[in-house]
Amino acid sequence: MKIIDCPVIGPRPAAEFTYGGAVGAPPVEDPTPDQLAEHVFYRAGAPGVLREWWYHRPTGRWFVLERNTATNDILRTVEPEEVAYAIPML
Amino acid sequence: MPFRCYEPRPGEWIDRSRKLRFQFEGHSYTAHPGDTISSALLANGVSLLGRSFKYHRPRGVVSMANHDVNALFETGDDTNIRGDITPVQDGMELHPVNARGGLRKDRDRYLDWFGRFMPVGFYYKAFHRPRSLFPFFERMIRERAGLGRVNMQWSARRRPKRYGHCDVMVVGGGPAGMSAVLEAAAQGLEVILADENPVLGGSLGYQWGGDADARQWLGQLLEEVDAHPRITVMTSSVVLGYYEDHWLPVATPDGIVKVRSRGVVVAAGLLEQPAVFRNNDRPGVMLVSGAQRLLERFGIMPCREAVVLAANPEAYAAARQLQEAGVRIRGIAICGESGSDSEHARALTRAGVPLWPATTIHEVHGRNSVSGVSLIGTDGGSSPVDRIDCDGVLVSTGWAPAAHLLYQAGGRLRYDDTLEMQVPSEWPETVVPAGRLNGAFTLQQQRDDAREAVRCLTAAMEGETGYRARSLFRDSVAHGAAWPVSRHPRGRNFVDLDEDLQLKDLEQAAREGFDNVELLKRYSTVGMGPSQGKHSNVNAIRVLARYMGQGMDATGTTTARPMYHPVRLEDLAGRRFRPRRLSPLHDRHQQLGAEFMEAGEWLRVAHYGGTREPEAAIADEVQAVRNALGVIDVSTLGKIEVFGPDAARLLEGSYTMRMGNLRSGMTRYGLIVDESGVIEDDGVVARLAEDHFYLSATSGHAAATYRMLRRHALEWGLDVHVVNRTGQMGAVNLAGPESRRVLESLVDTPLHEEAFPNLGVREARIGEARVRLLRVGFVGELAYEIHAPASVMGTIWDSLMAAGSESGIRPFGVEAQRILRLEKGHIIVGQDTDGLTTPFNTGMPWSVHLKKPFFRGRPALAHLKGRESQQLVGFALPADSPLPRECHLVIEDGEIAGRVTSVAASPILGHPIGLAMVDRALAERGDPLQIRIDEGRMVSAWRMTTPFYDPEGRRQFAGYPDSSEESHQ
Amino acid sequence: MSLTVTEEHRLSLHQLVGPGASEALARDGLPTPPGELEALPHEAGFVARTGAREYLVGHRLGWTPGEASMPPWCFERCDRILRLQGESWCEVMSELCSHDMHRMGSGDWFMGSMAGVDAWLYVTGSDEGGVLVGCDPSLGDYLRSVLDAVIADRYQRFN
Repeated sequence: MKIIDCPVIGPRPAAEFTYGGAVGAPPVEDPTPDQLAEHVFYRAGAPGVLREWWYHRPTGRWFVLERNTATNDILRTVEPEEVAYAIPML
Repeated sequence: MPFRCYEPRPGEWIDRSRKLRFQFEGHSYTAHPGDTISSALLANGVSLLGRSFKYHRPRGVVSMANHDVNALFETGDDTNIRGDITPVQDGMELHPVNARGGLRKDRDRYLDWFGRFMPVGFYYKAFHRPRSLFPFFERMIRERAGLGRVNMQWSARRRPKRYGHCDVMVVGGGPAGMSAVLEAAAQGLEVILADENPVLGGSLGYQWGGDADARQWLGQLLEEVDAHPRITVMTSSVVLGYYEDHWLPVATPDGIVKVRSRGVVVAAGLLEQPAVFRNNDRPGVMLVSGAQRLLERFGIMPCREAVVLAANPEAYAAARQLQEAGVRIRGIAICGESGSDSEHARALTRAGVPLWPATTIHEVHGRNSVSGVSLIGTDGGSSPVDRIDCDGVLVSTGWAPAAHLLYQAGGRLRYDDTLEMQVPSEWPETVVPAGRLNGAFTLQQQRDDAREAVRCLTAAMEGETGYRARSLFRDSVAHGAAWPVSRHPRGRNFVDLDEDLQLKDLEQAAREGFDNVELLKRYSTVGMGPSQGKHSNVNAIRVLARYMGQGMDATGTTTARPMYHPVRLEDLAGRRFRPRRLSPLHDRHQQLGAEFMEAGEWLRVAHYGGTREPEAAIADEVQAVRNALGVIDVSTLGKIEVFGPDAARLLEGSYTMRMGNLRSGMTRYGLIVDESGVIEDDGVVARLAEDHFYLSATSGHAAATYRMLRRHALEWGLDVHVVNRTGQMGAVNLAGPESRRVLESLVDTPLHEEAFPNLGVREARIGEARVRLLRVGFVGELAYEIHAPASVMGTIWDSLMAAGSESGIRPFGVEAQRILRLEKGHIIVGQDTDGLTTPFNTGMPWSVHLKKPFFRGRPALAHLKGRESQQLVGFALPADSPLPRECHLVIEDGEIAGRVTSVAASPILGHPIGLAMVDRALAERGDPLQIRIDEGRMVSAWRMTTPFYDPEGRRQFAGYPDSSEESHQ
Repeated sequence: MSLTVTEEHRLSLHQLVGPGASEALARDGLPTPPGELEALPHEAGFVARTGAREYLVGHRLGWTPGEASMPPWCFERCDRILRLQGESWCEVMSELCSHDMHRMGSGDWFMGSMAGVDAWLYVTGSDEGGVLVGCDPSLGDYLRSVLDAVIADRYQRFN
């Protein structure tokens, strides 16, 4: 099965991971119904490079990886800062 | 007639000094250790080994290469045993599969005559009119179809798997494989060599049997491979398939080994391909390599007098090899010129063997074995000789690479017109072909190709780029015929021996429009038999290509999928890994006679009092909690610590309600929804300090909630820590009017309402143990949930049971808890909610704090508010009513208007109560619910608001008077 | 070929998390592993670094970080700990874990999936110390029974 190589934990079998879905755009404040539906339900299915969340269960670590969905090659690890966004608070 | 030759062959696998006895069809035979079933039968002159799948034609040996599917056998407890490779064991009692009344007198052999009624795809076209007769035909066909019978008394076995590791995996232990393995080991790499045969050597052992130099080289290779410390040899081991990142499951006699390597050499060799002529399936017609395997491995002479069909140099070398062993070669029909001017050919001519150019076989004569052949010119015209008597036909008309693993790794093949066979055209850098599979035929070519393969492989493994392109050592003469097919007006010239498909069947299928290789395969079933096209795919492609008037590459090929050879289910099953989670109090529950139930991975107590009627025991437990005191083990609850400067922010963003304004020392019900507003999890959030929270989650969703919180922390750039303590801590819920009195005697903190109000949380001690106390209201009585490290839970439980004995403390299980919470109208996520349920559906708009500018699912909930189409409502039934079950439907005017989500007979109220998710209009009207229960009966349930019991929640206050004043019916 | 599995009851486990964790270790005289997923031996136990500011300390029974040096966040752990002693522990592990245990050396720390459950493994480096394997307490019985079954089956196969 596929090997996923991440910082600190090294190369690990994919079975040790839980897939967390593609990195989405930060949510828009007060979206229209169309924007909301698109954010919640729509996924682009065309093959290409996708940034995804992957969770390594034995160590409890989350990684953001760039993967080519056509070849299944993992291109690089993405620093969480690159995908983080601030949330508004009361 | 085949027989065992007297003189031992130099490299034979059998041990002539010992004898085995076995039985076949009730007759006794002898064999030697090392014999396979097929070789042992042939040694005893039995060449009829099986009956074919469809027409029940007599069949025998073809290749001896682990895909002679027509020679299948069964014993008492095993079936579909492959005769060509399965070793004979002393005492074996064998029978054929697929024959009624024995092989010779198989009662179904007349099906051969009915062949015209069973054209390709007949099961789509025939036997279904008149419709009334179809069940009869279907039963008859099912009884006739199939091969071995399964012994239904077979006891399930499992053979554990294990993992293996190496730098380079070499598949195939022939000359190329062994050369590759030595080259890689010389470079300091750890190598595994896997070969499907019990002895290494591959084609070097049988194909070059007559060559003394080859024999010597074989001996040398075997010695070096055996001696090298970095080489591990796995014999009788089949590499089942190639999976991503050099992951190769290998089926060994000891179970499957899952090998992870960094590079793979595929030196799996070639599969010899049959020629197509009338009766090419008779016992006695075999591939030249099959005859060589019989001779060199088992000392078996395939026949006394043979006709050879030749299209490559291998044919002449083999003819000479067999002649020197004592087979009389009656003649060689040359349907492909390559090799006809070789030294071997000239030697045969000198020895008086006639060679017939431009001649092929028209028909084989004989019923259960070969008695002669008729020849014909390759152009369809006359041949030098018409008919020859013989008892064997040896075919050498071409090869196909055993490139399945290469293909699965992303490699591709193309047809080489010079070699007249497919060769690898592209492959990944770290999964490389070598040897005959790569078009190298002479021993020198095979060795050089293997070494070159390893050099390029190891360079790629080191990440070297820009190394020179790999040199190829392919032969430059044809090794097969482009069209090894001979037409005959009466057919029975087979392309696929597994599926009994003739030339005309494939052409018929193409004519019917299935003229694409994928369609042809699925319609005709060519290549779908147990050997998966190893002997039939190439000829099928040839037939289709010629029919379509296009080239081999344009016609394409079908996908080669794992497993390469059949593998036993017990090997695939391996050891069973079924994790089971136990509470720290498990032993105590067992001692109390608990009935357990599975809740996900956990084992939970359903109820106590094992031998009593469950319903009565559960009802007693419910009464005990309401009237006195009960204790339930809730250790399976998710438990998560959240702490740090941004702890409150994390929870504000993750839960639907406000958490930032929760006071230290208090708890709050917490609800989590996903991005679409659907309820995912619920629990209790306790605030221990400004920057420290302790949350509970449902047992089933704990891991996911923990995961989600950690992700949010990263995604929102928060300075916060999240620690999962689900299994590390245990928890019990002490519930009932007596709970405070009993707990007071054990803890070091005051429990009256002012000191420890409802929904509060306190850290305290019970004896030496540090515990957390939470006042939670799930079952609707005064209750204290006690959380503590798993190591001290036993002591705490014992203390509670002792302190509570005077009050009549009673342990209760999940079933009682479900009734208690239902009486309070509390939902269970995943039971009263499904994949579409939002907090608005469950009547919990108070849990959604849209004033928060952000939380997960907020935009969806803002949109959905007021738009819910279903609502959760309470209902009740008369005491004597039959009980509906969860998911029974609510019907209105003949349409589905909802479903029951929870239902139980309430011991406290004395009648059934339940919750149902129903259409909003029906919910708002307050009409009774018509519920359809088992067998279509209807019951009418009246509506009740929830909670059904103690609607004002007064039972949960620590100052509430004793229950004796308020007894319940 | 013999491998013994014993329950390890003489170690207490604590998880130290967050700012102040490494200072707390230092104040109590415990070593700090330089990198994540590394461990250092200490007396009869070990200190493993499981995160940037996260440590798992295995120490003698009854030990807790001293009150004075107590880091802000310190949790008791109740992991089930098994001690494997004997040469063939790698072979036994090869049935349960896809990691190449032959590459594990003295003092190495591993966290991965064993027999389908999350577990940690520490190579003490001495024959007597053997290898420590730890997992969630709720899965301890399961892991122990799988190990016993694997060892029993191997004994049957090779004897």
